[in-house]
Amino acid sequence: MIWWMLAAAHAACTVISGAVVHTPQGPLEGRSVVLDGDRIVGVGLGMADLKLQLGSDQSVTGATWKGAPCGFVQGGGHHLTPGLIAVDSAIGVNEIGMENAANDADPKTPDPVRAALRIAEAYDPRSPVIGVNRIGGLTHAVVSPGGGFVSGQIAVAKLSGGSQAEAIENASVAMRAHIGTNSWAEGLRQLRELVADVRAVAANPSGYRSGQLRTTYEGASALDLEALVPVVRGEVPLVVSANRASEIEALLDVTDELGLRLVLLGGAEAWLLANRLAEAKVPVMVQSMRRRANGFDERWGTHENAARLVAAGVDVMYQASFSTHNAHLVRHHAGNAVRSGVPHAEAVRSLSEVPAEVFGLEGHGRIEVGAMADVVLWTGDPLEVTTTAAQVWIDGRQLPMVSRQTLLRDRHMERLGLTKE
Amino acid sequence: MRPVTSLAVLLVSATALAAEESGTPADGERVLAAEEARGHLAIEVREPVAAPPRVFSGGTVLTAAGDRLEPGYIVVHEGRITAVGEGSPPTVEGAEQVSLKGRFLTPGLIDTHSHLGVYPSPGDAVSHQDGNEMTAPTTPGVWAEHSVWPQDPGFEYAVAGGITTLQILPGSANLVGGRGVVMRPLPARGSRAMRFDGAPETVKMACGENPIRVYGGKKQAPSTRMGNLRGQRSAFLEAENYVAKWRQYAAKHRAWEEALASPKRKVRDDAGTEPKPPKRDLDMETLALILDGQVLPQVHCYQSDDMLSMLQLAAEFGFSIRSFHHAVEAYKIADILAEQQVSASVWPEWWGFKLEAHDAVPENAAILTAAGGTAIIHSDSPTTIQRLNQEAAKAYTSGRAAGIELTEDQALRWITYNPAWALGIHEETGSLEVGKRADLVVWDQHPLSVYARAEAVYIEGAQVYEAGGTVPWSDFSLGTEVSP
Repeated sequence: MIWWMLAAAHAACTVISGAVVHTPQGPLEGRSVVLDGDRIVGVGLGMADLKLQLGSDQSVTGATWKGAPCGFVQGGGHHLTPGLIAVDSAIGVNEIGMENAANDADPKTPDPVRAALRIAEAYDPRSPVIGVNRIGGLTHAVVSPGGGFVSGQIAVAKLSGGSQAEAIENASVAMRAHIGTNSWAEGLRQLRELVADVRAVAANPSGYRSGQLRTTYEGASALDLEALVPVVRGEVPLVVSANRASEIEALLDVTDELGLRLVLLGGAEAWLLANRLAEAKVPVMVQSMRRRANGFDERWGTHENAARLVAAGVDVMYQASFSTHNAHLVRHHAGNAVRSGVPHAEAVRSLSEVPAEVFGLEGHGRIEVGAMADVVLWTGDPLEVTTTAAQVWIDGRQLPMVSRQTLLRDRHMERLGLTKE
Repeated sequence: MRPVTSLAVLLVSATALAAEESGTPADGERVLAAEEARGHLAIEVREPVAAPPRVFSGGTVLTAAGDRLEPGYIVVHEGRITAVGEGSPPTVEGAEQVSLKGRFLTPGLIDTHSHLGVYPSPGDAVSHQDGNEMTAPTTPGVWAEHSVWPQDPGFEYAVAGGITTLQILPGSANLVGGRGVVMRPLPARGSRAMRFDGAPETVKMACGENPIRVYGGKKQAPSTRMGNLRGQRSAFLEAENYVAKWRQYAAKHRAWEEALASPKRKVRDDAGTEPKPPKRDLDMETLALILDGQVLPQVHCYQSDDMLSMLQLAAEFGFSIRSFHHAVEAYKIADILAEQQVSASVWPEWWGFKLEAHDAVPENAAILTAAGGTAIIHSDSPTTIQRLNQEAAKAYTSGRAAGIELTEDQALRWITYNPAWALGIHEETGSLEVGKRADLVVWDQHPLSVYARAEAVYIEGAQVYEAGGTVPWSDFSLGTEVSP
């Protein structure tokens, strides 16, 4: 480690000094950030603001913030970003993909509409998947249920363990839907029908409860229809995956007609509709490493997809290829997007600020005074494959950089005699 | 390992001996090796691309043979590397000068594990799911080459990422899934013309969960790990019997030829009819060639205990496994893999999709390297094969962050020289050394960076990729560059 920390024994505050700080206004070089309690209380401070204490060898041994001694982290040459937020993941609900007993992401019931399902209730804050992602620089995950036509309510989880109640920031930030696996037109017909039912039920709930009002869409229960009310009112966004430009176009028409707030997932050919998506303020979660022809619906895909969307003013987020177990690698997807033309600062925003805004995670995703102290100190450019997370803070707490994987590594390196003294 | 008489040598020498002694074309032509060769006739021939001598100089040359030459140069002539060095390059008459100013030159990247062509893009094409012959758990007689669709757009995306050689494997549904094929990602009308000229034959085997999931789910064998081993041991026992039959045939044939050539009339008259060869069996033929060391086994295996079972199988039947593929627990048996000289083809950090992938660590390749083993970074993906350099960079970074001493040359070897070794082509490619085929990539910046792009790619001295090209090779991709 080329940085060090002197944790003042009972200091509530931490000074992170000298790093490249990624703020909403862009990177600030060589300035300090102060964390106090669970908040960021100072950004862009100079050495003079912090009353540095020097040891006999002139190294910094401490700093004070408003008269109180703070822990001190020398971040010289490192980068400080907001904690990364994974989108469309199953962190905490899918531990081992092919083991039903260790995968709660998809209930696999025949029920097509499961809008009342709250994936937050399956979230296990002790899943080993969490630690692996946290030491990779993720502090939050947007956790989505899978399967069905309407899969259920998307939650946002904080990746610092604790109880389920402590971990879940918001149990219902969006609704997940899967449209048209066999026929896009049929999928949109079903969506219209479902929305019409929800509207009718919302307008006459007692009629529905007493059996006087019949719905036309089969397979949605009363609870499911009620859970969709905020979606049809446009208060809660609907997350839908679509890749083919013509399908995105039709989806935009229908969600516009129905007054739904759309968040697009996939969007391999979204660049063909970049201006329209920007105008409609529809955010897109893309897989930046994919290229033409992964599927028949991606033949006009390109590595420049994200760059063209960003240039048009679309809010872009990145989805990792393994968006659960290796969701933290999302930063490399952002790096690849930069390789294909996205401005670096925009790519960094896409990892924290944009998802925090899209999923209503107030006070998160930015390094600014008053924001939550969820930050990551990186050994270099956070988008680089040669960079690792040196330290992660959540709610101002410096978390141990340990996961089940580091335990496995240490045990077996020691057994092989490869551990350095 | 117990000594095994080379089957092909045995049979061919019987033929040669008979031909020499009798002076007639012996029926020994119908021996196994010759039968095998019949499957390799080429209809479509790849024409060598005429290329001038080239001198690459003025930038950083990473040789994957221990050197970082800065500034370095290499000279290429008639498809081979004729000089490598530091400083000013020699003058080569008529040579094309390629400036490496600000650039990096590396060997062409090699992926030991790809399903391009057998599971081509578009991945949802149900008509092209040609990678697993899931009709029986042991199908050594199928060849991946016969499934490769050369129009897979993935081949040209792979070249754009610096890939010059790749092994296409059958999937892992079967205990012995069939022959792999070492290929060049080049435009061709048939897969045969894409073969890496002179590369050994390879075979795909699998252990662990996948065969159990595929066949156990159908209430067929194998449905357990012990069933896997019984299936593999039974297949090799049968192959030993098959080899014995051909040996007997060769011996009988030689005796018959000697009798015919005898000066004694009685011996000639009693020679009888020509012995008939055993019935040829494609499945047994592949297994026989594995026993003979001519077909290099590539074994899909995740867990350390499963890998040890497979090493035991190999010891029992006297063959060598060349590479374990996926091998997420290679780090647990790094000492044994190093000692047994079995390489491991691994991902940097894939894990968690099934129980046998639960114990992955991102330091896997680094730990195996530190233990003296041969680590390889493979893709097994049409997406990451486009950026294998980044995959190696991640594994390198994880290793170094854990305090393991690694050089960038070692990291580069994970995607060049080591995979070449696993495929038996390390004397031909995989590093920048005089005499090797000129498989090269020019990068716009250090290849161990997320921002690096391959600017130009050469296979045997011929340029096969230049950044910015827009016309796709693949017929399937034609028209997709046009935006309406």
